[in-house]
Amino acid sequence: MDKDLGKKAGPNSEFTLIFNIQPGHEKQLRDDLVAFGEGVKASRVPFIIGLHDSRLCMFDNDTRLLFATTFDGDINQYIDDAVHTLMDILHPWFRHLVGYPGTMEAPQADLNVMKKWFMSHFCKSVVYTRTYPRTLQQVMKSLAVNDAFQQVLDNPAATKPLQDSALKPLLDLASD
Amino acid sequence: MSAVLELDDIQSGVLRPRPTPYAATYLLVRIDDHKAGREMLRRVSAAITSAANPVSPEAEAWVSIALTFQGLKALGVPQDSLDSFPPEFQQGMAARAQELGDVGESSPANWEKPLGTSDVHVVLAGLAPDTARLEARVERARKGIEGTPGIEVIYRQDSYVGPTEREHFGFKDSISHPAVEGSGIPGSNPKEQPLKAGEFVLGYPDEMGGLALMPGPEVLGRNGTYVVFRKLHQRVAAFRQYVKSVSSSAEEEELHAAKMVGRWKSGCPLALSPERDDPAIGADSKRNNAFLFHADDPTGLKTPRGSHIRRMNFRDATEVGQVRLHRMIRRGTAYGPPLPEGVLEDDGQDRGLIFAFVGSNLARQFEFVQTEWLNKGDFIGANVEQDPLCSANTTSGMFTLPKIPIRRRLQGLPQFVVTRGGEYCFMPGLRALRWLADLNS
Repeated sequence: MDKDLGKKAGPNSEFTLIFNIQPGHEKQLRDDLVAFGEGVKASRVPFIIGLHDSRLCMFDNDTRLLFATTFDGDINQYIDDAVHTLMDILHPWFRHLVGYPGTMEAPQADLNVMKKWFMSHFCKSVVYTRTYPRTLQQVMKSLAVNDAFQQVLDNPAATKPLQDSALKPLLDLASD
Repeated sequence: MSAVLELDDIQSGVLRPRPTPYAATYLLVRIDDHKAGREMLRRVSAAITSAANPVSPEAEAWVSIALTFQGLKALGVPQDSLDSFPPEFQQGMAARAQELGDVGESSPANWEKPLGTSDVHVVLAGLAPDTARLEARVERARKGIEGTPGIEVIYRQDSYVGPTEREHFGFKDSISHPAVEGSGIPGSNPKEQPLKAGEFVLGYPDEMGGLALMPGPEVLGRNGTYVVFRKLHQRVAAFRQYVKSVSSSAEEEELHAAKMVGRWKSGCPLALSPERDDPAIGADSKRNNAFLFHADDPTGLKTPRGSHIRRMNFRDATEVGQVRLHRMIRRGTAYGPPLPEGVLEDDGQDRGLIFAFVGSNLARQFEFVQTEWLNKGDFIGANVEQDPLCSANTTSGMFTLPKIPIRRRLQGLPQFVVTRGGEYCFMPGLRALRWLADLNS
């Protein structure tokens, strides 16, 4: 397990991959990436549990592709899980990349082969910082708690109970 | 299409269900001489039974044999073969202490000797429905060892599973067992699809769709697997005191203890009876593991997401990770006398659990679960919480019980389980044992 694929910040880790795009597949790749992005947006759930964000960027005159994400857990530990989860989901645009072990129709069934290819494209960041190193669930819960708290503050009847000493930590956050 | 397992070449200890009750013994052996070691293997192999015919009466008592990396070296296994074993196995458990959370009181510096030292070469495990039959079995194996110059038995640990199958904290144990494709042995959870044989036996396709990395040559690796042996001391009085200190009644004590485990003491899962113990479910092997979490209990109102059984196997819940890549065959036997019911003061007796893991990938199965799911909480979004029962409870000593209207948080959890030692072993198939015995360095 002494792999060194991505940097950590608290409970999060990053992974950054750079692939070469198959010549002649540039337009198809762009279209398939756009469709993938639309699908992710529409589903409103991360395509890997614990995924905070993902960025896909064609560069160097559409010869290369950057894939960068932040997710919960240590990528060095979860690499098998990532491969297991991602291969079917990412196949629609993976298939346009150089060296892809699957075919245009389907991923390679032996995920160890896929993993080897996937891992060979990791590009470890020099710097990785997180302003809020928290898990996705903690962030979502915090946002939900704040939304609820704002609803409470919008209700004039809440002013009195909020003065109760048991609620002081909340009152301290209620002035702005 | 499931692989056909060569059961007649796989050691009994890998796949066969245990009788109840049973007695077990672990003998640790040091090899001081290549030739003597191989001679011992030749003799002991005669007493090793295979996993074929799991229902025959003589299948109820058996001896298994496994070797540490140091043991393979002591037998004179060629260097290229040694190099083909995975790094964590080559290093051994003591060297992995930092990763496994075996620090502080659990650190190898405090382990019971010779556990964790380079003297542990062979682990012989004997098992039978009672001590008389166990002794007869062990005696056959022992004859292959004792009196041979260059071979020494350096440690013996007896353990047992009583008729109630309860471990020292009072809970029915070793309930959950994955189904292995091609083994003919059903799993304990009918709602779980059988796992690929390669997850537990080397040489077969695994859940990654290919063959698990197998040490070479093939005759050595095929039909073998890895075994983890751990001696875990349990602080039973401390557990009872803690549960009492956070509860206001005997009923609440039972509930809090059950919430930490995920089951009531009878083995009945909270998933199926969240309010009170139902011993009839606990005793029924067709029902006591037949449940999932996702649809019924996504937030852990019944079975807390941080409870022991949910951490070990979150089934179909949406947590970080693919649970099928981290399944384990786990077996526990108790050692030491039970602390009598109701006693809250420690009596100074050593008691605990001999934990055994069987699987074909130490790093992806045992080590992963230990580091990511037992000692951390990132995967359930609670990144300061650890397994309330089995971790060292060093990050926060906190455990959240979801509850309507307001969740309850247990604070100040101490360490209830201390590692006393252990080792990573390779359990070869029967042909591989003969190959090892015939080695000519």
